[in-house]
Amino acid sequence: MWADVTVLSEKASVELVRRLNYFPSNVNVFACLQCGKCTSGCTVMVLMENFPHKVVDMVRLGLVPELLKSDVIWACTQCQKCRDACPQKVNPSEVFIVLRNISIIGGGSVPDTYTSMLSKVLEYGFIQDAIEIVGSDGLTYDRLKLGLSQLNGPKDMDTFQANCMDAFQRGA
Amino acid sequence: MEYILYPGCLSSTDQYQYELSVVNVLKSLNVDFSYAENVNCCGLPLRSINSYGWVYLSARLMSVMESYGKPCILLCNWCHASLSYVKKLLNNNEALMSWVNDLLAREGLRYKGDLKFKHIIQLLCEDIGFEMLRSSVKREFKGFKFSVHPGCLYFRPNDIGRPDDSHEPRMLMDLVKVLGADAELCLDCCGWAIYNTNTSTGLTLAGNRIKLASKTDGIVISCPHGGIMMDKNYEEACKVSGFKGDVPVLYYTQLLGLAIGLSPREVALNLNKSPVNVLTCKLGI
Repeated sequence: MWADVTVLSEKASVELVRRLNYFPSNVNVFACLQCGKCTSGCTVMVLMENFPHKVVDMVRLGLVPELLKSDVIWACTQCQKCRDACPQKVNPSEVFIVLRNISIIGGGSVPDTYTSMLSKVLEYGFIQDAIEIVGSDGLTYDRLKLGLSQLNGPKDMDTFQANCMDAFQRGA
Repeated sequence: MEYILYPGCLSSTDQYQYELSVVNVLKSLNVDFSYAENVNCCGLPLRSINSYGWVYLSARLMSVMESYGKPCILLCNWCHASLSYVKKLLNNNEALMSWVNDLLAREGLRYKGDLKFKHIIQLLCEDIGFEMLRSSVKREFKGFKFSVHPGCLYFRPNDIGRPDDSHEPRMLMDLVKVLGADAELCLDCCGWAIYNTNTSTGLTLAGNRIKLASKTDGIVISCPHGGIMMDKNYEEACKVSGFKGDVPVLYYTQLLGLAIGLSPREVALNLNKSPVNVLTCKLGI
């Protein structure tokens, strides 16, 4: 995964910073010392062979297109351990989010679960509709049977949906 | 003081035992609250799709809840982290603030930035207090030891401002000890976010977490994501990680409810999928 690239061209560097800054988050890949603290504490390092410090290095070497083609950008569980561990405030967990966003804005596919959650938000305001649960007594329960009030989603659903569409397509 | 309650997506559509135990515990402790209406998902689970979509959803939720003029109780670590993060982003970025307010104006809403919100765990520690809780305990958990699982986003990431210490979160530990039980801390991840794109990795993380608690009387959680992964998916998670054993997984508010004299039904233990009957048997209830 180490890249055979030495120096970013000035043009590529400007383009890279523009893409990383598409959203005002505090990502700072250029401050990375490659100490590996992020990777040593990564929740999925062993299970998914995710090495956050290498992803950060690839980004600053200008290998974003290669990362966008790889599944590695989805191999992060957003536990935020790397973000707290980083002595340079590089913010690796945010790098993964920005890369996912850039990928999708550029026409990359959205994992099914996310598509489903977004469609539920558009329909109900929440990532899923209230489901029925079978209890240990074998009976089926829903909010009504449990004495809970109905879900209080957005009242003006049309405007809410239109706003969501605008917001979720920003940058595309 | 009167509060408004926002349970969040997963507690109000799936993890009913959390919402129900919170409602019954707050009533028992004489806390006045009403449900927030016209609300929506905080957007954090959808941040991977588009960060602007996330900011809009969190800002909308905050602007609606601001209109009540009361502090808000949140049950979910994700909601709390999301609102904390978006609040910080908007306070430091005028362009983002005016963009989101333009969208909100179409619904007659406006984000002002003065919403006060607390996670239920924070509320129990800070507003209700340990003295009050100690004096309400009718059923002590003497001799029990629980594995305490505050959940990642309750104490991480530090830079957006979290309710508890990022290296040694104490709140949930102290709340468990108030009930007379012994407690050990675990800062691992339940795996919910990766479960969305890689089921087996998510289940392995949850199973490994359950395995770590095999010598305790159960795992105490305070976030519905942990509830989905370790309680609802208990059987599958144990299978994937090769663990055979009985580890009850329950919300702190369920444990607290039992301690202050509520029945297992009143804290909806019948909705848990992990072997919580092991715990009620030990308690003799």
